[in-house]
Amino acid sequence: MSFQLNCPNCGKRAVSEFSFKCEYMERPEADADFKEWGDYIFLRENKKGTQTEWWFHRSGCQSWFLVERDTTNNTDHKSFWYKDLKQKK
Amino acid sequence: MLIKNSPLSGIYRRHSANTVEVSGWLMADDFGNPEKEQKHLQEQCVIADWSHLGKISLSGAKASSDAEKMIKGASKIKVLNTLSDQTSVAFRLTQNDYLLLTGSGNEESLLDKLKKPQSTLINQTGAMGCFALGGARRDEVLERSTAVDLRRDRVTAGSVLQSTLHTVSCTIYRTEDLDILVHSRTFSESLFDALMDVGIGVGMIPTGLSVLPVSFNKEDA
Amino acid sequence: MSRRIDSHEFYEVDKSGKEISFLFDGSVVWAREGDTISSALVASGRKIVSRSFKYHRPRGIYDADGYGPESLVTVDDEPNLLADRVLARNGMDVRSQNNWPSLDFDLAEINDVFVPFLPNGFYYKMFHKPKWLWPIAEKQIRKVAGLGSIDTAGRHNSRRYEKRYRFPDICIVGGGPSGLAAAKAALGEGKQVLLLDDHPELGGHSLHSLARIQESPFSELEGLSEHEGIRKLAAELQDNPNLEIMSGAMVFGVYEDNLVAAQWGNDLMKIRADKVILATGASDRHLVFDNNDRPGIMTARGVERLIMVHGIAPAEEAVVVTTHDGGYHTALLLHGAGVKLKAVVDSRASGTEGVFEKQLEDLNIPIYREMTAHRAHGRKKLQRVDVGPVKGGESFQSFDCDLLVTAVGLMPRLNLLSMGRGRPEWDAERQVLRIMNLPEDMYSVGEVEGPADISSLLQQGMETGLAAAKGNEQPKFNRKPEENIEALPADIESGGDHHFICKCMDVTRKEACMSIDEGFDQVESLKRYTSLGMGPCQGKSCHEAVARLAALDTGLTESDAVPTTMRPPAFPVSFGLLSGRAHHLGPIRRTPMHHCHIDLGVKFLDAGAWKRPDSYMDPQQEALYVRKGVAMIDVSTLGKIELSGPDVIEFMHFMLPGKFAKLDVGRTRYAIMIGEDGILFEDGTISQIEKGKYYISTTTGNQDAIYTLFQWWLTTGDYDVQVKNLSAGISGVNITGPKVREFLSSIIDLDFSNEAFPYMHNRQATLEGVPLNLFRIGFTGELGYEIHFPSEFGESLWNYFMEKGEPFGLKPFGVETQRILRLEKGHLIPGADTDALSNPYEAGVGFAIKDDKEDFIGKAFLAEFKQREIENRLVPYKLQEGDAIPIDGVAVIADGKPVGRVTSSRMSPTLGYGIGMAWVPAGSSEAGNHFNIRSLDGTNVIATVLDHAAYDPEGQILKS
Repeated sequence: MSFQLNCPNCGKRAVSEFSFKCEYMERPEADADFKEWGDYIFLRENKKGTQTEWWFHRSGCQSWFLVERDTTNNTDHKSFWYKDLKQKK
Repeated sequence: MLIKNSPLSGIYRRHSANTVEVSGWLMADDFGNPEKEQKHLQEQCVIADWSHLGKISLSGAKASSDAEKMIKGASKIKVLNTLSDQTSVAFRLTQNDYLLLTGSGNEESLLDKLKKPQSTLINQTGAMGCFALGGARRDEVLERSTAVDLRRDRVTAGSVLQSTLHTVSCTIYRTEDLDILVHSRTFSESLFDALMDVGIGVGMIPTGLSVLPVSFNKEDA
Repeated sequence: MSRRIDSHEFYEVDKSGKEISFLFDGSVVWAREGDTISSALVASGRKIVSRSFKYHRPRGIYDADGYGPESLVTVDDEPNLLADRVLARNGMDVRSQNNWPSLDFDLAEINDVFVPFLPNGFYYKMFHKPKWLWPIAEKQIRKVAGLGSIDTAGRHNSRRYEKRYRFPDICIVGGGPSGLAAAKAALGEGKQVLLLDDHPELGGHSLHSLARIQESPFSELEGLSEHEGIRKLAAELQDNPNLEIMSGAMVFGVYEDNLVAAQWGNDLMKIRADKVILATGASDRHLVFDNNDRPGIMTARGVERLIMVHGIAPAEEAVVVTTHDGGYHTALLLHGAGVKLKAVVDSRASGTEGVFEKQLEDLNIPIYREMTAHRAHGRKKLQRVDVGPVKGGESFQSFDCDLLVTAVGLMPRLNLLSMGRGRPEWDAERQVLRIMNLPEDMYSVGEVEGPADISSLLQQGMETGLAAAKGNEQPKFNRKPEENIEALPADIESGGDHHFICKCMDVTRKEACMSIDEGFDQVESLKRYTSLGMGPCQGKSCHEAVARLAALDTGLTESDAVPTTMRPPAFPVSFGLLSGRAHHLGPIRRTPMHHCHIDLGVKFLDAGAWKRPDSYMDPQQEALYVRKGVAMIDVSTLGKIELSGPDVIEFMHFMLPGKFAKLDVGRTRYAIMIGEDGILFEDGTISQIEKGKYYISTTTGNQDAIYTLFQWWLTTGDYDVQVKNLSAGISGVNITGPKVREFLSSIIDLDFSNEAFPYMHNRQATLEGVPLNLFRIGFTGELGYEIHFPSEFGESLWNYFMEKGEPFGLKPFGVETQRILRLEKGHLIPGADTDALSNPYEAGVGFAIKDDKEDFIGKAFLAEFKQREIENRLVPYKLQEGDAIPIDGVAVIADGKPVGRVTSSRMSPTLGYGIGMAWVPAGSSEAGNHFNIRSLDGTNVIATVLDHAAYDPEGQILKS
């Protein structure tokens, strides 16, 4: 992995500056049934293609942000803030 | 009052630094040969410990208006840029994060200007180490220390960025004459050793405040 | 014999290099400055330079360019360097590799005689049964099959390797005509350009070409001969401030996002450019015929380089086999150097005349058409060459000679292009393998796209440089028909068993055919079975031959018979270069009191990046200082997070399973953290230190993770909370022991009485101008106060405590001692006593959960855990006096089966018997129950489950 990830604050940086958290998922309601919670905790889509992910600029501005990444081609991706995700929807 | 120690106190001992007390801090004045250190500053490169500098961080949605109260004009700074006056410099690290550096002992007067902070304000003076790299060959030390692009036409004087040097997270502030590295004090000694390790090959030596006194403006340097 | 030349018919010989000397296998070799080891060896008349990998066949300099394995040597104890690439230095000690007793007389050459008996996979087939035989056989095989040996004494450990970075606008790999032209064009657009070239002098193959430059895009070069023109072009660019030239840089890899990696001396250069132009050029094509590996068979460009760059006539008598005008050029250069040309053997029919062919004809040198090399004779050096028809069969003629030059077309150097994840494809028109699709922002130009003449190369280089500078797409270029060179058959089928395809691994056509017969009939499987292309050159010299022969012998189509993926490194790279400076391995975190600990003779413990005091003396003794007197430990590594703001309670109630609304100012409470999966991962304390200000202390390992996790939830949630990570700015000590109250009362102006400052409370005070937060907690099981203060005072304060504490017998203690003490008290450590399956109820910390809240992290899973029965429990236990202490991690046994495990086990210095914590089945977890612990030596000890703790079970000491 030597690709560069775009931090919405700091710009393009080596991917080693970042931490990957997980695919973006909506947290279930507190009273959702246990199966839904189990899926949320343990199941990941791991899509071939574009998926939205949580990344953290560990070695830089310490920001959490989202990345829409083509998992077949790391270099094609879009980075944006969480608040902009909400605007999108 | 007990003395405040730089995170490099062990380095001072190892390199037999001459120390001086500045605002309650025991800091290196020189490392035994100020003439030689001056010459390295002119012709090669030096590293000086400025860890005693006052450091204040502001975070959150109200960080910019709080920063404005402490340093006039700070709210207008663009992200990854800085604003300096005679005693202080403000870094805008993100839309909602500022780091202010100020002369040692000057933190209180800055904090006094902000009676009720609306943002997350931390006096980071003792939490962070700070080194100043001076001299024409400092680029050669930096290119061996970080994977981030520090090309002078892209990272111009007055800009600031955050990345790692020798895998240690640093805030890198560039002035005309210096590159200033602010980092967690816990890594200070290790970062100093790593910088010296690559720096020694390009003629870098440590120096103290008598050779490289604290200054944020080109005029005073 | 080869020799230095003083003059040459077609150019002026540079004789300025100072004379130097070095040792080769102990004999003195004279060289000129500017020589490579190879050129010096050739000049000195040496034919054999190395022995082949498997058959120990003698090998000589082949392309003088380091693309094959022939020139691997050991230099000053550093193995596997390319003599073709290493410049001769005065006094260097060069040794040949893989031979015994000597290079010229190698006993293992007997392997060669037994070729028919050493087929592919011979070793595996022969030695894999019986099983015991293989390790013995392997040892012997490794001895004879191999490369240089590593200097285990590490004599070059003092060498400095650096990692360095460059961020040019445009990075050009290859300083030949197209690379230079691209650089010139990009510089003209005002770009910052980095030009890497693997030779000491820029110019590539043009440095040894006599061709006239005509109609090139650069008028200043018009009419010059190529070697003059290229030097002029290089000199013109040399001083441009926007151009950085790295000569002698070996680019060994192109990685994702076009990261270019090169070895430049002892520096690893990592280059991230906006655009990358690969102008890596081409090498002479490999010609496969019988005994095609003999010393004295060389490539045309290798010979030209030796003549024109190093001023050497590499032989007495030469034969040139060619398929294009370039061979005639080489022949002319040989002729001009005084080498007797016995014949030029051209595979083409007549009527193909080029510029150099005409010139050569005028010299009356015999030219044989529609023929090529069939067979080489001579063992340690070439003596005779048979030539015959291109399709093989009977040979027509023999020539005595000591040099056979192969000029049979060019092979693009695709390695770096292929690392851009493109597959090579056979271009039938250009008769070369090419890579048609490059990643974004990567360009290729020059002979790597197929042979072309000098003006095409300059023109196309210029256009590509311009395209890259302007951000345009890769321009497409055609080749003039006369530029394409027809490839000869993949093998000249002239009989004999020694048609070498891969010289690195000693694989012949015959062996490849046998393997295909055995069913390995795809390029990929053929490679893996025969190890074709897996040697030191990594297929650089043979990938085309392998693919074409596979096609020939398997009937694969052209599109299927493509080389296997070429991976980095494209050139040998030293391990030192990849590892870099020691500091690249990882920084160290130190507390402010680090040097105080050293002064006290500490033994450090690595805790993540931290150095923590393990102990200063025997931990058992240190523990008794705590139990009987007073002692101090550095706890600065703990995480310290301050929370405040209108929503602070709501936030804490969501983040943590506990409740904190009733935690008054001045109170401190034990708290745990769990994940959404309900698993315990952290414990610590929460204190309200001022109205609305909550102070959380976390364990050392989780300080960054927890702060980062808080930040994530604050990014996604709507909480008006201020989170301050004070971990680095605040340091701390824990002073503990029966005498602590007396000691601290004597120096700090604060009422330490049990009534005024009870257990699990916090207070603030000032000491010598230093603000302190004091927390009365009991991790060690003894009366104790954790004192937090600004880190800049850490060193002074530690020394102050040690000095003022002396009359009270204050001693320092370390983490190992603390582990013993907490174990006596039965306190768990998350991550040590628990793992990723430990739920808080089973771990015995369910008391810290208040689940009657609307929502909090892990709520759903905790509810599920509560419904299930408890299966296992973490319990404190004790052993009998005199029982051996098992080590951490051993099994708990019931009915001969493991049913649990010991997580922590120590000797209790206070109680005089073994204590610990273990996971046991719920059924045997009642206090007073017994269970068996199986030690590593197989013996069992019987443990007794304890109710709370081994030491002070009722907490009398803690609370008084």
